[in-house]
Amino acid sequence: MNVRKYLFFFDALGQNAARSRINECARANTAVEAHELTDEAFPDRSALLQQVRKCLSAQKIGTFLHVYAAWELLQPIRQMAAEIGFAEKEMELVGFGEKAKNVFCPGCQKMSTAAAGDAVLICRHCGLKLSVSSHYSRRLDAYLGYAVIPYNGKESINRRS
Amino acid sequence: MNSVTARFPFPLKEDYYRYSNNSVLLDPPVAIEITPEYQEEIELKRRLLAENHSQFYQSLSHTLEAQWEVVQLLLEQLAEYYPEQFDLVRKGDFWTFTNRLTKETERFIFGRAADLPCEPLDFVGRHVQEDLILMGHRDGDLYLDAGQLCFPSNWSLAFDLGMTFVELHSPIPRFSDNNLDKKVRDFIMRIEPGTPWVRRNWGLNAGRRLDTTPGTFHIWGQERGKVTEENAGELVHMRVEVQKLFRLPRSYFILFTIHTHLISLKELSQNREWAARLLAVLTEIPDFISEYKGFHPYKDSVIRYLSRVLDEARE
Amino acid sequence: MQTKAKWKVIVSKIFRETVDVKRFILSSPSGAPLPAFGGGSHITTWVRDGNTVWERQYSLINDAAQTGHYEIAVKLQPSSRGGSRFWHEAVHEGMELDISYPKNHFPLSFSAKHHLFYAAGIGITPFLSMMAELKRKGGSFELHYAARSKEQCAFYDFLRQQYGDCVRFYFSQGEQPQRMLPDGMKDQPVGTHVYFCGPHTMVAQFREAAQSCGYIPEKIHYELFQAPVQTDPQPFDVELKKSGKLLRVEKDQSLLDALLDAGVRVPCSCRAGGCGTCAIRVLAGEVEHHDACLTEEEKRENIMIACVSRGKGKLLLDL
Repeated sequence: MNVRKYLFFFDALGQNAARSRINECARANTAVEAHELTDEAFPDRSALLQQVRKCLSAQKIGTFLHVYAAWELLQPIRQMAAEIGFAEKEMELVGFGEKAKNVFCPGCQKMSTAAAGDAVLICRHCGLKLSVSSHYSRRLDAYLGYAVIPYNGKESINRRS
Repeated sequence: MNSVTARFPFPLKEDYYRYSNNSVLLDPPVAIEITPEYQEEIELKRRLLAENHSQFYQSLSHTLEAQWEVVQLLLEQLAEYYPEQFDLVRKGDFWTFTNRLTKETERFIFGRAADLPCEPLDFVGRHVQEDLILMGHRDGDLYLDAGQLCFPSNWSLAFDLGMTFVELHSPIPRFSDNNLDKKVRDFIMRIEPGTPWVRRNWGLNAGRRLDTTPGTFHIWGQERGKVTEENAGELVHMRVEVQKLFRLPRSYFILFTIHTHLISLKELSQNREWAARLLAVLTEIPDFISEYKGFHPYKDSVIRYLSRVLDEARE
Repeated sequence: MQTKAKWKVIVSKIFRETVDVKRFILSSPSGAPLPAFGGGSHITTWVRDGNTVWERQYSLINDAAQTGHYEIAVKLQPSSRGGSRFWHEAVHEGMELDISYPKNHFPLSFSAKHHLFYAAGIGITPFLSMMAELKRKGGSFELHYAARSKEQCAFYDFLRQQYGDCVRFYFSQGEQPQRMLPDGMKDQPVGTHVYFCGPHTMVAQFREAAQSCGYIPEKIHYELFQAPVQTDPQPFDVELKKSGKLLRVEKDQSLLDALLDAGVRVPCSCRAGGCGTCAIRVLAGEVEHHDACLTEEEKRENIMIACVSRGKGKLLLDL
């Protein structure tokens, strides 16, 4: 892609990585626009996202979007960017901090949260025992849980994870 | 040979099985098939939709145009190929559809969502045995954009909604070897209006259940531990999905109709050729396929059962 | 891929748009509706000219919401080998012809927020159905259209009336000649997609310009009107390197059938050039590709599809 401008959004968690990347881009002699998302500047999440949306809407063809921020910000920003017309290949979003893993329960279709490293959990809505698979849904930002049943004295999971 | 065996769409053409693009042109170009199981399957489908709608029906908002194309295609074909059971009268945009098997009549203005009891795809799906999947062909890729899936072979429509073709198939071990997943996706994206295709998928299930959802695995999955050589004939069933792929000309979506057929091993073995072929396939089949399809735990019992049946037939 | 599905239609009306462009209305003889289509679609037409059948592709230019008929526009090509000349000089109202189902290799992008169209000459045709569809759905678009002059600009009045300010014209002849330049693509909103249709050189120039403006390939769409394909099968010989077998493929026989008849096991499925299962490697010889599944790279690697493709003279196969 022939990038005409790099657009950066970053918060406190992502600022080190962001600044280093910004310097690389500046060396390449391409226009760079960077915005720091600080708690002081934005009273709440929705005000922050509104400002981001306003900025994204003004962007022209040839803009590449970089986001270095807390995981919770990535999904809403990605969605806004897509609504405005950014393609997947025109953005890179890097998450920082704790990432809770959402696990989709195929029994009740609701989400439970798995801590990092958890291979098995109990669905907190319907009680089904689930093995966390690597099958990921971008739409839901969640991993599929596979039902676990006792079988021949051992536990058998539905499918290999 | 009983009639179930006679009309079963046996899927294996060789003495070995590997993943491939086994599609052939569909002639005659009919998307749906009415079989003697119609009443019970329609009742089951409607009960499932009533009890747990979001488990079995999902759609993204931009699919309405394609959904109406499916209504047109299927109602026209039901009336044309099964005129004794179905009737379709059109006066301009005023449509009257009669299903004599369920004794129902539906009157609506074509394209007017409010006239139907539910979304168009959901409505028409309740009159056919097939599961219906709509893949959106957009921006150079195929996306699962809508579906009515009451008889899934162990996959979750609610989870998979919105995924690309390649993402949907990523859990299948080695399906991406030699880029087969991309080749099949590219093949589907080349399908043109007026030229539908058909292919078959198969499995060997313990138990006889159409709605094998991942959400109820803890119930039906228990049967896997119960198979023996003695009961394999009655407990194990071959499950075949006949999948038909149609290009919808206006929205350019791809419609998959999936008709699921079940037959017990005992009934299947009445056809000695099929029994022999299945035995050959199972003897040779690699573990990664039998494990993913779920029959690895009882494969040996099935092999012993089939061998015995064929030995007895020779005597 | 040989699509067997065809429709019989008649030419119900002919209009002259410019000195070298005619518009044809095609209707079903029974009055039944023709298949629906999306903006950007085209059909293959087959017209009989004595012992010849001219097979040509034309974009559907009417609004897809009108299901009763199809409209196409044919430009008389100066170097015509006969196809467009036949359409202009011999095709008359009431004449019957065969057409394919509509196909769409140039659809509107689903994710585009703004569609920017560039047309040169008869390249205007696919955009007509696309703009009708966008207008109906409330989509945002702009058309830039280059022609020699207003008189030689097909559909000039129609476009002005229907789309007003959304169309910019560029006439290369006359008092104030204007060239259609790619500059307008720069600095468009990020959700813009660009579409090109016209002579090969124009499309190549605009594609390159779009890339340097910052459009990624996914946002660049184009259609080229291809040269017609020869289909007159000839017999040819085949040698199988591994077994040493020699075969002759007759003109009414496919390579696949000849191989299967000779006991050579070639996996196959669709027998229509679409699924890719019967792909085989060619070690020597010239291949005539008639499939619809191999990429250019695969053809360069000497892969061929046995059920529909053929050889010229003799082929050496890796079998």
